[in-house]
Amino acid sequence: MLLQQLADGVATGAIYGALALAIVLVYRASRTLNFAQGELALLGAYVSWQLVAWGVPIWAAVIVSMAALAVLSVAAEKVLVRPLVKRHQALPLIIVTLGLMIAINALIGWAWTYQTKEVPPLFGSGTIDLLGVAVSRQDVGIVLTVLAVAIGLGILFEYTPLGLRMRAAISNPESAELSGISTGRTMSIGWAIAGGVGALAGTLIAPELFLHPGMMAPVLIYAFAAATLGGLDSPPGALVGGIVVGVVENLAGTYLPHGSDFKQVVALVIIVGVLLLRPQGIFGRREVVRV
Amino acid sequence: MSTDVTAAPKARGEAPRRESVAAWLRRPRAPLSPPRWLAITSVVVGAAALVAVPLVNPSYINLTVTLVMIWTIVGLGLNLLVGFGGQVSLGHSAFFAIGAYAVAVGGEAGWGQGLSLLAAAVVPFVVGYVVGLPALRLHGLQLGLVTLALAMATPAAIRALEPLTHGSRGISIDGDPPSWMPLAHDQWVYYLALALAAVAYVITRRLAKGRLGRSFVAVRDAELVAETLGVNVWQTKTRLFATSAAYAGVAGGLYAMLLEFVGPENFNLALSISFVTLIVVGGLASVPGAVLGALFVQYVPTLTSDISAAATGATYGVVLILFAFFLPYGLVGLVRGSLGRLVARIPGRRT
Amino acid sequence: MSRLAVEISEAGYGPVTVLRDVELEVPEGGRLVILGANGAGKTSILRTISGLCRVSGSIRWGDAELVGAPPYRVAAAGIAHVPQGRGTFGDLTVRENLLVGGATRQRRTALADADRWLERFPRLGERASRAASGLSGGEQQLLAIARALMSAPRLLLLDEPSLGLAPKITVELFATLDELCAETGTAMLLVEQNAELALGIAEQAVILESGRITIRGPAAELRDNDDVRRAYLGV
Repeated sequence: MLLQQLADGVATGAIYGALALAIVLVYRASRTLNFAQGELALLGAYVSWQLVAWGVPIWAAVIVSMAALAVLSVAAEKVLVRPLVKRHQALPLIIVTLGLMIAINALIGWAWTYQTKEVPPLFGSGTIDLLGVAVSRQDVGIVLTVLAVAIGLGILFEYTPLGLRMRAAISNPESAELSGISTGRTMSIGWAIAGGVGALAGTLIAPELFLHPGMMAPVLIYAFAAATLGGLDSPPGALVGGIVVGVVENLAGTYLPHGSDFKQVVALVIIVGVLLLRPQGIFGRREVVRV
Repeated sequence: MSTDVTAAPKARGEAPRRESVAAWLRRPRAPLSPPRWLAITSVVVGAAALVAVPLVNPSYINLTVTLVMIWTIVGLGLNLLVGFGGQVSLGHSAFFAIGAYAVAVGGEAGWGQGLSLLAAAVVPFVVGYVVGLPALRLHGLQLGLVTLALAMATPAAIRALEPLTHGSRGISIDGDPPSWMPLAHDQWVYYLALALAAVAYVITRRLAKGRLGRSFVAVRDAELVAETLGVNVWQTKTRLFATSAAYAGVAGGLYAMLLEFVGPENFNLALSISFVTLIVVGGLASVPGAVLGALFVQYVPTLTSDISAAATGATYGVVLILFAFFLPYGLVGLVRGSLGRLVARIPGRRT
Repeated sequence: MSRLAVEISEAGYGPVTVLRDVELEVPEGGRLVILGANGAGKTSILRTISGLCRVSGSIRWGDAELVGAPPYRVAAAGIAHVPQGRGTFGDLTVRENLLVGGATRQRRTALADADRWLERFPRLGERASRAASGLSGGEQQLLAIARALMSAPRLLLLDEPSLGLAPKITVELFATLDELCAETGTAMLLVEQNAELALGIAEQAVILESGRITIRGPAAELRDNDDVRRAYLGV
């Protein structure tokens, strides 16, 4: 029973980790939080669903959806976010991404109604026996997919010229620009990857939660908790944070009285606790306050 | 890569160019300065009209106007925090809920309405103070994140505190006036809300213009400088947060009395978002803005819900984005910009 | 045919104007030093050339006009800029710092060049896979200069390379700088507090006061000029 809970926790945690990864990529690129990240992922899930409904195979649908959301994220960054990041204003940034979150949610409701939709699981149904625990194929597939994405991004950042440029632009934007790196472009690439990873996360989780316009809001908060826990500027931290949050959430839901209600408070407790005790998270760098 | 000189220097003595519409909209404006006679007349006429409303209208109209006044109280408090204090809160629905439940639980315990409403102010103040102590070590985005998580956890937290809140079943409330008063329920709550909104308005104006308000703004604009000038930044922020929470609590208490029922689903994220929309639309750091914003969040959804279920969300989202970019001073800025000169031309003595 | 010709009529940040009517030229392979008190606007000249300031006027680089070009395009056009103080990427390794400098060039050339620099400066070579933030001030400055040269620039903009360095290390650094630029024929536009050293390696010099050029001439002449000696050489 406990092992079963742990396995479920790791699978949902991997999804939180994937969305947290999107949040971290955006934070690294623009030093801001995108409150619309969850709804962008939801839009990705709906695009996948729509393509499947039109007869496209699910895997192709996911890839198209990731590409579409990457493009949309870049557009949102250029039009809505960059002008405000340049002015260093936190409040308008929060207002604008919040506005985007509501607007996208409404758009989804208008385009696809508020009825629940069924997304086929990407990895088929049924279970696999892992060390005596029956784990659903979907859970295993989710964990492996997220792991593959994480490793792919790790290789991109650490071992490719593009990754080097992106890290340079984050480490010292001015010197990067003076070395011939367009920091605007690396910023856009960060948002594009975030949009794609988000769309993947949305499509992966849709079969578990049933696709409806309210699906992503709680996931977003868990993802924020995961990103905060891991450290807002650390991609590996986002994944580890995601899994920790997923497991804690699952255990709290099962073993605490009023568990299903308390587990929604878990995210708040984690966010507040981490920000107060260790604001840089587990893996993040301590930020110097600029005056 | 042969680029032409784009930023040509403006020749001296050139006539000032016509301002673009966007620049005109973005310009900060001084408050309207009506002559004294006009100011007094409008306050008197306005007050008389507001007092007369529930006597001549059916109860469903009184209900919506009462809601406008409730939203106004929230907006005044939230604007104190966000507009004047520069602190973000996406979680004021939580304090609104605490106020509402203070009235509900107080009613069950037989406290009477006066004491219950007082609790609706005091409990959120205390909670706001306790939450504010640590929360105000956080800055902009982090505070936004924490308060967003707070807003999302509120319905679940209410359900989880079942012994007190009766969970999803909610609590019924008796909002009727004392038996000696010849008023119907809707009229009674209307007058209560009117009185409290008026008091809140006056207090907020005082706070915004007085020494405390100046220290808020000083803390918002330059924390370190304020500190060296002898403003206790930490205490100022915490008090501000608690005060703002108390406004939301009182409004929540009135809301409970108006609906005569509270349940967890009344206090979801959408409520918090409408609060933020309220102050952004009305105008950040402006006291009258709360009224315009309250009118917006009360009446626009009733118009849009005729179009489709998604229209309200779409409107809020688009409006938030547009106002952040083009109308940073909200509807108040727009009113000041368009009527400022006209009002300034009206003859009469000004204070 | 790379030659820098700067004619700034006004430059600054936002509403603040820092420079007025500044004209200067750096010939192919030439070396110009800008001297002046703190706050005279020396750094702003370099930042204006690199596209980091609001400017009106003209900055010709060969046949190209640089006014209006973003910094990364200026860099790609062959102008490397070592900014004041923190010119390195602290959380990248030393080798990665060099590779970033070669971002505008072919990957293979950049890798080979990075190895060359690491061999040439053993102090950097020993720490090739350590984070740059762990280097000493002198090593960081050396790394920043090597990184700038990784792009094989035709012009090197240097903003107070001696800042925060011990005198002995500064002397070494300038000798290295002199050597490197002579080898590659890279032109140099140098901003420096240490007038003695700077005039020693420069050909031409200008003195900037409150955003305007007040004195200009060959470096050797300025070195002998009594006013300059009193004001900037401390004798």
